Amino acid sequence: MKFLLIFLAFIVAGILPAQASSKNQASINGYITDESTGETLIGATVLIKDTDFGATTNTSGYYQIRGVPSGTFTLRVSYMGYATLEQEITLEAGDELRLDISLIPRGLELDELVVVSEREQEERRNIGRRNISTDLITQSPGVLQDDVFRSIQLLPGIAAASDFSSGLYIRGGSPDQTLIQLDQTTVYNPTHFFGFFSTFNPDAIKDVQVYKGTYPAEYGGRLGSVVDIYNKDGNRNEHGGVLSLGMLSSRVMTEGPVGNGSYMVAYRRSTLEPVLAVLRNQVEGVPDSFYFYDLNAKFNYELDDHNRVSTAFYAGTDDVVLPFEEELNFDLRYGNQTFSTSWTHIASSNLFANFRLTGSRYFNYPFADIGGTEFERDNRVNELSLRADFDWLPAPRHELNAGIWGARLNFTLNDTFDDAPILESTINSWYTAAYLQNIWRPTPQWRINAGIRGEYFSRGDHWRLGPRLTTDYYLTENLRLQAGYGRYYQFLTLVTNEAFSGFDVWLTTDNNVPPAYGDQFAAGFKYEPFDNWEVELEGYYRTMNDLFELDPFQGGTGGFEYHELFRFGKGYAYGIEALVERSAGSVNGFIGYTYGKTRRKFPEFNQDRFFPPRYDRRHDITALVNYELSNSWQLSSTFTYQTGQAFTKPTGRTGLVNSPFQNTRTNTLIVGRVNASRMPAYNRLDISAIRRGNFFDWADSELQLQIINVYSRRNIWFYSYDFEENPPEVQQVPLLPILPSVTYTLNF
Amino acid sequence: MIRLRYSTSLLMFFIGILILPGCEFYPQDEYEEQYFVESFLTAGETIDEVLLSTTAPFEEEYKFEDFAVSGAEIAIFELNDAGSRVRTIPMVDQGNGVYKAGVDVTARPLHNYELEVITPEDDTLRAFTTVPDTFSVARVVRDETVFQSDEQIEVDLTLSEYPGRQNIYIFSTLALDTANYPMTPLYHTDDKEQRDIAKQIRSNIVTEGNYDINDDNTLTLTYPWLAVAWFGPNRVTVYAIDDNTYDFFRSQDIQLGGNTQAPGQIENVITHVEGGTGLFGATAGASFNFYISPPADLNY
Repeated sequence: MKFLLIFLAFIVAGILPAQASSKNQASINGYITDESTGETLIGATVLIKDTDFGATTNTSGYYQIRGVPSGTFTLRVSYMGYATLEQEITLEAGDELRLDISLIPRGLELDELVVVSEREQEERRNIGRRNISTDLITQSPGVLQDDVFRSIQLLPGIAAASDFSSGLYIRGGSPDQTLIQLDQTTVYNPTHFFGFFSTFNPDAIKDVQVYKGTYPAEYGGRLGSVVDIYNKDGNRNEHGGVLSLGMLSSRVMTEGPVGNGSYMVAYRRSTLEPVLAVLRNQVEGVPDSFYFYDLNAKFNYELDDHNRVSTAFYAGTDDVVLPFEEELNFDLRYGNQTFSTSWTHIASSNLFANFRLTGSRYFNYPFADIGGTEFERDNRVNELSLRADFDWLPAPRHELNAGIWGARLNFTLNDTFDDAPILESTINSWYTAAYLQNIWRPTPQWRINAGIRGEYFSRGDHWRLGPRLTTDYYLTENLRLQAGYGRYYQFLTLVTNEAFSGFDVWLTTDNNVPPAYGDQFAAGFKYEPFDNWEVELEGYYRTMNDLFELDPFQGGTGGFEYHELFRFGKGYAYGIEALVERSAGSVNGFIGYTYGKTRRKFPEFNQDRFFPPRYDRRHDITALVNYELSNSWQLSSTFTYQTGQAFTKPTGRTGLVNSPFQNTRTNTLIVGRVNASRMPAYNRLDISAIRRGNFFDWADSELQLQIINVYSRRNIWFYSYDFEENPPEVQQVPLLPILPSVTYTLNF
Repeated sequence: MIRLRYSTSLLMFFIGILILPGCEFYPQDEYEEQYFVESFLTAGETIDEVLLSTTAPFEEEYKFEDFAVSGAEIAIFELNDAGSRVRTIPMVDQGNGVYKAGVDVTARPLHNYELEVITPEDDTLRAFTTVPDTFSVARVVRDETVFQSDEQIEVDLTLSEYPGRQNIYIFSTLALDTANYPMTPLYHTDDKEQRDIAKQIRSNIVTEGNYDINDDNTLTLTYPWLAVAWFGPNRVTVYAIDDNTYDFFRSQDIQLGGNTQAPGQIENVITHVEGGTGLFGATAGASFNFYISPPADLNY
């Protein structure tokens, strides 16, 4: 407690004396937008040249600078992918200058050499943080279609479980340790196609921010990391859209101005039906029906200079009907729906507020008919939340962020077997959180972000306080040293299967189920040796305590106390991530390397020894190269090399031969240490060629040809064992073979 | 002698720190042969036999007879509440790893038993169990019906008892006339081996908490169609099981894949045999017969 009080004092340190000295000085604030579309830009940098005054736009695209002395200055506004703008301003004492600025996208200003310094990318390149550009998502080779999460998987420190999974395993954490938000609304099952790719339509997305670790106090509720995704607001200047035809799905998006605002509507649907129809007569096990769709919509309106409102919707569903055999039928429908209504209010030149009402619903309804015996599940998560966030500049060198969040959560899980209920569970809980953080720049070289987050989860009556601290020190203008620490809590756990996300179930803490918690430490540097070249190195160490997960050995749920369903363990992870990136130029891209190690331990499991989860990867190298061959042609390639997946090797076998229960031997494997063996190393090369053109003078066209796994390496997914053979036959189940695909996109 | 300069030593120290985590201190276990013991006690029935064998390397063909262990000294002991041995049931070596009880002793419900095996190499295996309480079929609500009709087989069972926890069951269905009746559609096959296997099938673990307890302290079991592999006469035995059997089967059921496990994930089976592996299980059973008529539209 004493530590927390000292920490709290540290957060507000220096504000009051600084406030007294800030009178009679000027301030600047406003929105930074894309000139061609009017979209607000998140994380754009505004600097007053030759001073140490500056700011970064928040998630609403808004910036504020306070305490500027009177005089004439040059304002420099920069954002990766846009032409840097410099503008002269004159400020008098007491001025409160509202200055909204539009930046020109680089594609429209090809002749200009864009140089954005390390300092100008300060916020977007905080420790553990990366932004994923929509260009990366749409231009890098994607398996059958562009995907946000598969692009995120390219980053150092982020692993994929397999070719078939878009799940994010970040810095040794499982997917449930990552908070996924769409327009600040939690998405509980962000997958389509049972995990093959994510729910987020790249056409609808404006910005993706990934916090791999030591994330700030404004986020919480997850042990590991945050993926914060924002939908496009819609073009404020003109009507337009995107039409894209792909092998797996096709997409359409339209956007445009409405009065003093804008709209964006994007729809995506699978287009597999013709393929399935052909296959159905030739291959067993092809679904009777399968489709998925998602719909994104967002509407924005500027009430006046100080007030904006927006509303966003998302709805997505996957539905499959699968006859395994004549007497074995399976039907699954799952999906998410979210809404978010936001009001941003500029209360004064140094106070910005955002109020947001959000709702999120996740559902899955599996049904199976096995020889006349029916199994049915009704699984739902409902979240309704209200949050308020404030950005306040109390003094020139301080930016204070504070917020509160109240959410009502409802988890329903009902199972019926043979028309009789075997599980009826409804969990209601309040989640409330409040945070305070102070971004303090005591000198031009130092940047300190100290924050604290208090969280309360009513199910089990759990109060928790988590301090957060990140520091940056500019050794030179282009060399930044960084360090971070945070304590994090998690009140939910996900029951999932790496291969199939359609059955995902969320469970919560309770009286005898305490929240998991962990500490994260990170340190590193970012260095810009040449213009548009970036080198970064980051090391991390994190602990995981009171991990609670559904006991895989649990023989059923009926008649057990809630806490008896879980096993409680701990874990740790550490690693080093290195990245060399060229962010602009005709040849650009990055190469990333991760050395990582993660371990788990559960009582009476694996002889109480730590073991690596299957997604533990010692070495992970990813390279992405884009080559702008001409204005019409672009080539892209990604290469991945990873240490082989961990697996448990059977060493011996035996079996019951005289069981009273059945007429056959009960085969039993003797296995060694859990996940102590490794599959052969994984490697894969994907290539993509994009041909840009024009479609009858009506739209810009883009033909994308891709080949996944160019040399068709048969990476192994897992081993299966056929006990009908004696000795059992070991079969290698491979990952994706060579896979060509084509996508045609029109931008109108 | 070459003396390393201080800076070189420091460099090597840091290189060592970087390399050290790369070394793998978690090697895979090599195969080690273990004794495997198997025995079931059934409440109210005579203690019958113990089987002793060794495990086999995974890559080798496995037949019990090839790995059976004879020449061991085996006994089952009945224990009192304090854990002291009050009765000894010596097991007599029949050869081929089979040991039969030397005396006629009935396994007593809610009593504790100890199994001791001294192998020919003087290794000792030991296991303990508690026999579940007996229970019975209180009422047969319906013992004859047409397959997949609205009326399922239904019986009321009295409750067993087990110290410290709810009752846990395994259901076993034995087809009584496979010569004259066909298989149900889900199991239907012409493969002789598969047909033999399906003559007796078992359920996964089922807990008492899945059922409502009736006012007369019975539970009503509606038998699922899924658990019927053959038309005609069948016998169901409902087994209340001890902790050893529960742990063995709940882990064995998911050994090659449970709902929450990643593909290829294998877990060890949970056993409670000191000095080896296997199952010293105990059950209490209640049986009833029923008859399932094929539906009129069955076309095989």
